[in-house]
This record gives sequence, C-alpha cells and structure tokens, in this order.
Amino acid sequence: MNRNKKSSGEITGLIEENLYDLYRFAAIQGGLKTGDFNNFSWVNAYPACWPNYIFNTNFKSNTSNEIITDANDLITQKIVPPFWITLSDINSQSFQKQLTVFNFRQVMQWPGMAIGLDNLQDVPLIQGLDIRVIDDAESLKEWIKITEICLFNGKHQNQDMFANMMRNKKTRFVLGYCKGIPVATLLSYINNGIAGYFMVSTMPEFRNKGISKSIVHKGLSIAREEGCRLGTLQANEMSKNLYLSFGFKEYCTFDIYWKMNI
Amino acid sequence: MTKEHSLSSVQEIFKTVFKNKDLNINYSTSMKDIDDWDSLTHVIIIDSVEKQFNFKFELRDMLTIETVDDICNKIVEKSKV
Repeated sequence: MNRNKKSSGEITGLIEENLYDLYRFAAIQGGLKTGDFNNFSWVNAYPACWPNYIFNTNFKSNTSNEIITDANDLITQKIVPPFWITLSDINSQSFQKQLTVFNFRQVMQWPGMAIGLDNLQDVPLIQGLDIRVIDDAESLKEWIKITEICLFNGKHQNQDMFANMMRNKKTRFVLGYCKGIPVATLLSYINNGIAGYFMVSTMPEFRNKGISKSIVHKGLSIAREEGCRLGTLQANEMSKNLYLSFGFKEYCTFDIYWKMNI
Repeated sequence: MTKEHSLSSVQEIFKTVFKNKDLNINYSTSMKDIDDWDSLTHVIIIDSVEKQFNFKFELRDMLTIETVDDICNKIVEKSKV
C-alpha cells in the first residue's frame, strides 16, 4: 500500500477505522460491556478508566436529535459512558451543535495523524535506553503502572484486558527502560495492514530526553518489518510536534465531548 | 475584577470541586500540585469558573490552561470586555 496513492479522505477513514477497531478489540479481550447500534457504537470499561467511549456515529441514518436522545437514555442509565468521540468534519457539524444542546461539552481535541512507513528515518540512539516488546506478566504490570500514572492520573486500568490483548498477535506492548528502570510505554495495534499507536507515555522525571521519539520509532520499525505500510495515531497539542518531526501528517481531527451533569 | 479578587473566588471553586475546605492555592498552583486535578476535574473547574463569572472559555484556552494564574488572568481579561 503506498500512502501517496491514497487520498486524504481514505487515510482519514483508515485512522478512524484503526481507532474504533481497537476499542472493539479491547472490549472483546476484556469482556467489557459494549454495543453496536445502527447509529453508534460504545464500549464501557467502568470501573476501569479505558476505553470508555461512544464512537462510530452514523450521521446519515437518523437525525442528530434521535441519535443523541437514544444515547442520552443509555447514559442516564449508566449503561453507556458519557464520552463521545466524533470525527470533526462537514458531516458532523450539525451533530456536534446538537450535542451541546444536550449539555455535552467539548473537552478534548485529537489530531488524527498518519505516516507512510516506506521511508522511515533513523533516530539518534540514546545511551542507556533499552526498548523491548514485552510478553510477560511482570513487564506488563510495569507497563500498566506507567500508563496509569502518566495518562490516567493514577486511575485504575483493566489488567486482565491488557493481559489478553498482549497474548493476541494484533498487539505489541512496548516498554522503554532507562538504565534498567521501566520509564516509557507504547501500544501498537495492527489490523488490516495498518499499525495504530496508542498509550505513548514517559514518566515525568524522564521526559525531554528523546525517549518518546525512540519508542515511537521502535513501534514504527516493527510495523514496517511486519509488512505494514501505514502508521496512524491520535495526538494532542503537546505531542503533535513530536509526530510531525517523524514525518506524520495531520489528516483529521477527533473531538471528544463529555456529558458532565448526568 | 482584580486579579486578587479572582484568586479568592477561584480558591472557593477549588475547595468545592475538590471537596476540601482546607485547600489552599496560589497563582503557581498547577495540576502537579493537586492529586485529583486531572483532565476531567479540569473541565469541572472551567465549567464552574464560567458559571461564576458568566463567560465561556474557548476550547484552546481550556486546553492550554495549566495554572491557577492562567485561570485568574483569563477571568481578569474577560471581566474587561
């Protein structure tokens, strides 16, 4: 697959597909509550903190009012989590306006980015940094602990879900060690030749040393060796520049809405 | 609205949001200083400030606010409009 032959719209579709497939995959691996309706899908990992989203909204089938009313009922009953991910494009504009009418508030924005893996450039080696794909329970515990601290403010993750995910060949759990201490994480999810990257994190005292760049490069290299041609991810304002420096390009934006007062 | 007045009001908001009547903040207080100040409580704080002072933060401002000082500066800025 040559990225250059794919349109921007097609790449956006691939970014979206990998993200939503990951949520469904995590739901299966974790035995999470999940649902697929005509108009949207959802996954509920509560009491764990991830993944908890409504996603894959079909803007064309029903009116925004009906879609949101359906979801609202399920949110009120605490069946469905109160976080809604929507791709920010022309199809979703009126839907997003309706979300605010229903007291959803936009709380985050993720640039959707992608990179062709054909011309991946090397990054400088960092002395003392060892990056490994992990496959044992002890290493996974360290991986989960780092993500809980760095990405979820200490909130609990579903350990069994991640253990099952790690055993599945679709995922690679990558752990970065600095002089033997586990300090950085990455999760790659490979589906249909596309490698999605998630849970990139570095412990606070080890940041600004190029560790994230090295761990992302490792993830990209592994995917290329396994025959993938495209890497995708959702960034944030802080990490976007890191990914741009790799050659990732921004193709779309995901808006996250939260129904605050249920 | 002076910055000192805004700090006093923001302090009360923080006490309510974090359910801690003994919580003390200053201009340099940030997410690193309060355990439960995460991305969701951040939104609750923003929402409370908006209701108290009757203005709306732009998403960009909400995402780039890191300290109490940032919040107070925005309150003072919006009170001049």
